[in-house]
Amino acid sequence: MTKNVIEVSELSAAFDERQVLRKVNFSVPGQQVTVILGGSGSGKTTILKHLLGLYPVDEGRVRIFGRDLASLSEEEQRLLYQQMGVFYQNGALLNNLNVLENIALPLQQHTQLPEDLIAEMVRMKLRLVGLNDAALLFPSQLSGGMLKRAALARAIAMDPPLLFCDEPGAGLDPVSLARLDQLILNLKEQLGITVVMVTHEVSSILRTADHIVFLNEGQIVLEGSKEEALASDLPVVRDFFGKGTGAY
Amino acid sequence: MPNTFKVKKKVVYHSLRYEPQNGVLYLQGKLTREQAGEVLHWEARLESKRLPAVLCLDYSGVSELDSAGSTAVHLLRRRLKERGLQLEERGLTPEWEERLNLFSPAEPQAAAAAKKESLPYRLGSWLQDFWTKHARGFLLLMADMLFWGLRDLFKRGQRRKGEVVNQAVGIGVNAVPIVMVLAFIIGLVLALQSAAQLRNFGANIFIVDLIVIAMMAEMGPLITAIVVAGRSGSSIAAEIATMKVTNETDALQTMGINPLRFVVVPKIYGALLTLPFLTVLANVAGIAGGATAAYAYLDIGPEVFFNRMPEVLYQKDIVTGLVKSLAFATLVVLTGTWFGFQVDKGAEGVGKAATRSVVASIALVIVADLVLGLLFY
Repeated sequence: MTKNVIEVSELSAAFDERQVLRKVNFSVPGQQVTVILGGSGSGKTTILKHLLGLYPVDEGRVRIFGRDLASLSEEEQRLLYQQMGVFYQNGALLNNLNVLENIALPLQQHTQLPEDLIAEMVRMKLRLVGLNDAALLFPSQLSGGMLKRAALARAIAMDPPLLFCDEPGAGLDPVSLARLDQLILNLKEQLGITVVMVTHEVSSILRTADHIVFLNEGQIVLEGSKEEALASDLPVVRDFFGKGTGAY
Repeated sequence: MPNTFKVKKKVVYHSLRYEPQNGVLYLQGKLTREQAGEVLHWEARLESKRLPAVLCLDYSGVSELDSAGSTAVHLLRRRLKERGLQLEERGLTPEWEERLNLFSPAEPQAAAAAKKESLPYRLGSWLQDFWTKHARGFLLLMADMLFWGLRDLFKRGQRRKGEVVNQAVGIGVNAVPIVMVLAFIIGLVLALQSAAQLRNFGANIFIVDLIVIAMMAEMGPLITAIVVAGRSGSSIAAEIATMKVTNETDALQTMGINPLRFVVVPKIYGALLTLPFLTVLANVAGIAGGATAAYAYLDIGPEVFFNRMPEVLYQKDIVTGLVKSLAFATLVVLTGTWFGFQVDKGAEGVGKAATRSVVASIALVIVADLVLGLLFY
């Protein structure tokens, strides 16, 4: 049994009186792909932002690598951020830097590596995501799929043991999505990284997920393996996987 | 006393150990991003004549290998081979071999040679670019706007009800306080600076001529136009750029609504309607500022000032000011529109469009001021 990398207990969140998360408990096992899923407005993004420390944890507790997020000093938080890569939904590459500079940025900021090694590493990462010839282009010149791959290359620039993916499938064609999933699986298997993915692409979930956390209206209705989720009798889960009654 | 001896510093490497007598490079410990740079550092310091014919890389001591380490190893191999060395490898566990394969390098790409063109060529292509990308399009936009502007005068066409009033309030009415305050200050300062000179010649009374003509024909319209360019020119550019980035203009187009008529025509009307009034207010405030300074520094009372005013003020100056204000209004709205429609992909283009539009519209306003000034001289 692998150790849990993230543990969330009794996490609640509200925006202006609107309760978004209600006492959420779940954990993310190490070296597996955990998918947080649920319909729109179920609180997925809110959870992710809490895990990333972008929203302060007001109620409840979030522990990453055994450390309580709320108790970290600024320096500890900075070190924690070096341990995690985040793959944002729409890329979030810096617009005034080209792809090469974007991916080199964390390496230049956080390591003492010589420039030629960094350049070589960036090209290698770009090859890894299948984006060989786009190094000198600017984000505004990339197509949606290329943008995603560049963003993934940046997320794994520092070899993070923990990778967050926010809707990696949004706006990708099925073939590119399958390639992206395969890439994430390769990283998991060969480097043993832990992946937390927020998505609602069923095909992607079936391919990648080891562990599933199903959210509905701010509450966890199911946490377990992919098989458990597929076998579930809960109406929301059945509907989600396309096995529902089609009531709506 | 400075140390004149050059001591060759002994470098301690943590991740490698070299035994020159056997020609073996032991890679050891953590070959990770904290230490991977050492490998290349070692290679760079290696003297070519001291090299063995065959170099053996021993990986048996490696305890950690990440992408930085793998890349460093690949780079080391390539560079040693480039030096004509034969490489032997040993102690590579399957795990590290797999890792090295996963992080194998990209094929080196031939960098595109930067072409250096001669100065006349660059000047020519810049001019051509300027014409095809900016000047021609801007003229076409002006023609379009003239057409739709005149046509929609008599027929509401695709404007929304109340939109012209909205724009007039946004562009003109809301700018009244700032324009008046600035004009007052500039009138005051203008009078202040001239007062000292005029007093030398005992020509105090001519302060009235100076302030009135300068404000009416020149400063009033200019201040108004610059403030409006900063306030509304930028917001017009940003609004249109945002609409373009989010495909709103495409949506209008495919709904059979001309974005120019729907969005820009009301703005032109709003600006043309309000800028003359705004200019008159700026003139009033500026002259009031001048009169204040004249009273305070030259002992010219308001009564004297305002008695002299009609004598020096000709209709021509008033008309000049108003014609200018109309021209400036058109220029500011058109520049904003033009740069808005020129936006590049992405949100960052919006900010750029706004900036460019302000710079260009202020420049155009000043050039137009010169042209009109010469015409009416």
